[in-house]
Amino acid sequence: MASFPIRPFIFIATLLSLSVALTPSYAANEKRSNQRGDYYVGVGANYTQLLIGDAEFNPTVIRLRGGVFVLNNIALELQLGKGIDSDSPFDSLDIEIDQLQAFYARFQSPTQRGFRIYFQGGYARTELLQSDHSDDEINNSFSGISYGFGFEDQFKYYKPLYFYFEANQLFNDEIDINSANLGIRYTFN
Amino acid sequence: MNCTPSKQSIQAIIQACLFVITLAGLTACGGNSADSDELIQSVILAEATDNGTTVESLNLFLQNGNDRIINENETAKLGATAILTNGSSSDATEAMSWSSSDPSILMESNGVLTGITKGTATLTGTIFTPNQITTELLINVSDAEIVPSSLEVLWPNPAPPCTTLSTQIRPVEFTDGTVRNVTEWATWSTSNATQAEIIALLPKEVDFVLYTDQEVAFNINVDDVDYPQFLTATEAPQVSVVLQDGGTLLASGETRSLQAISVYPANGAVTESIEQYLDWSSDFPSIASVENTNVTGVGSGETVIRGRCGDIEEEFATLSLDVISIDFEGIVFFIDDEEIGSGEISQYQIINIGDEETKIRAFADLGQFEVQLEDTEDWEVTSVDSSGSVSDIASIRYEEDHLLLTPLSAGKLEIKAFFDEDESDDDNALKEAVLKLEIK
Repeated sequence: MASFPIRPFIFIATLLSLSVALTPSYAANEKRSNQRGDYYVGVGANYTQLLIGDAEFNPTVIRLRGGVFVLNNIALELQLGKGIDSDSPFDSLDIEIDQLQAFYARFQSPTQRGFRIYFQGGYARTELLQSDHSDDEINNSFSGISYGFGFEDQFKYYKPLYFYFEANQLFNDEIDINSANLGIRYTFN
Repeated sequence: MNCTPSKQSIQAIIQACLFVITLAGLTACGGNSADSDELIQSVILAEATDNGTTVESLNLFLQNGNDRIINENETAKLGATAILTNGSSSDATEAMSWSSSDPSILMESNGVLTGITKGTATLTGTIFTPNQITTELLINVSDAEIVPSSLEVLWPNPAPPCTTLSTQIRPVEFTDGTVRNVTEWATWSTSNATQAEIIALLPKEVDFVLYTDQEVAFNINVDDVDYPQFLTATEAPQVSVVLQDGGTLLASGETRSLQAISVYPANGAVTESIEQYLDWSSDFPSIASVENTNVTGVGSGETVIRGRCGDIEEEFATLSLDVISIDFEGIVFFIDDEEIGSGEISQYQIINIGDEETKIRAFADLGQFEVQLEDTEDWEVTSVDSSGSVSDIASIRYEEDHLLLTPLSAGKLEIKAFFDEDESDDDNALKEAVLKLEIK
């Protein structure tokens, strides 16, 4: 079963974020930074890894996000997700993500040649929906501290628009919920 | 736009972060565990459903073989067999939860039944994983008494000493007309603990060991009645002794365990490791000492390790042991088949450019014998002058127990080989030597 190597990436991304944040160019690159009061919206597809016992489920989620910068390059962000598909290793059980909510503080680097990295930490709640042959559906929700990292690439011909790829850990206890997201984000200046 | 953060905005951020952390902490404290358990249970059930290993039905029974009957004051272990949807069966005893409908008649505790007073009670057995199935069994608690005045014990024959032996009591008749197994119910003891040892009380048999060739008195107590029994060991088994991992050669300072294999004819040839039942000694403790079943080399020489069984005078098992001393005297290198003696090791050995592959081996000189050094990937090859890197001077291939060196250009190399004297993490036990090479 493939394992999703989220932790090393988070560690590296955190180090990169800190190193960028501590360089003098950070303050000098105001044009490349999101300013306080800027806000944004985004949408992306979310490939999720549910590790339950020895089994792995891979549901897909559409995830919307919106946020506002409360300081330069520091934003508060709300994410909402809805499951659209699931991939189960069993014939007799299907598990998908019914809905997902997350609230993050987002710390991002200034854009360098259209590229930036960011770290986000906060709280997430993931509601899973399990169904079997009997058509019984059971909801289980898992909530707690969540974090992740990502990087963005700016559209060359339309600067407010970014492609992003990010990885999150949504829940980590007896079961693990990790995700990888690919999407676009639009910033209103 | 003014980009300088105000005190208010920083305060707002801190408050927001604290709110998120508090909310996360509070939420994480409740609810998740029950949901996780439910989800994990669903996955286990799904896996079993796909594999056809969900439980279809349960068979409950008393492990002593009696049929749904237990006497007052008797204890009996419970057992369960799960019949699976794919038609196979499996032992479900450890996964069961039990309960008695009337603990004043029949008490259950940790899978063990105890008859309290005459009557009937329903025993309920439930399995929860992978799916929940419950089955009931009506148990009769009897107050009947054993009819015969003596019990017949099915002693093993032959019954060699210092060997694991099994026995059971032939089923006995009770005053209510039933014939039942009482082996599990019985309390077993011996008059002299040095002559015999009860090592396991199982629902259908008792395992014991004899340490004497004299007659041993056993007392079997069932329902507060004593039933004395006697047994004399038969001839000793054939026993062969080796060191663990084989052989009869031990290095000084090395400790290895003894392995004694007995073979005796009972229902075919029975083979068993019996070293734990023997008392071991060494003829020359200054050469090899013995503690329990471990023998340690002390000094070089030959000794005999003897195993005795209890008070039996006859020698039970012997091992002629050679102990050799290991005195590390250095590391010897070979270039191709030419030995580089200790007097030459400080000098540069010449290898000419254009030579074919040169084979370099190293041996640890341990006095009485040599050990070829392996793990060549741990050897260190360095260039010692400014003529270039190692790869500029020579191409080196690391084989399992030697290096293959092809000279490329002029330069000097040093090859450091290592020998771990006791294969431990102790750095003091790591010995090393350097071979100096000059490529011309």
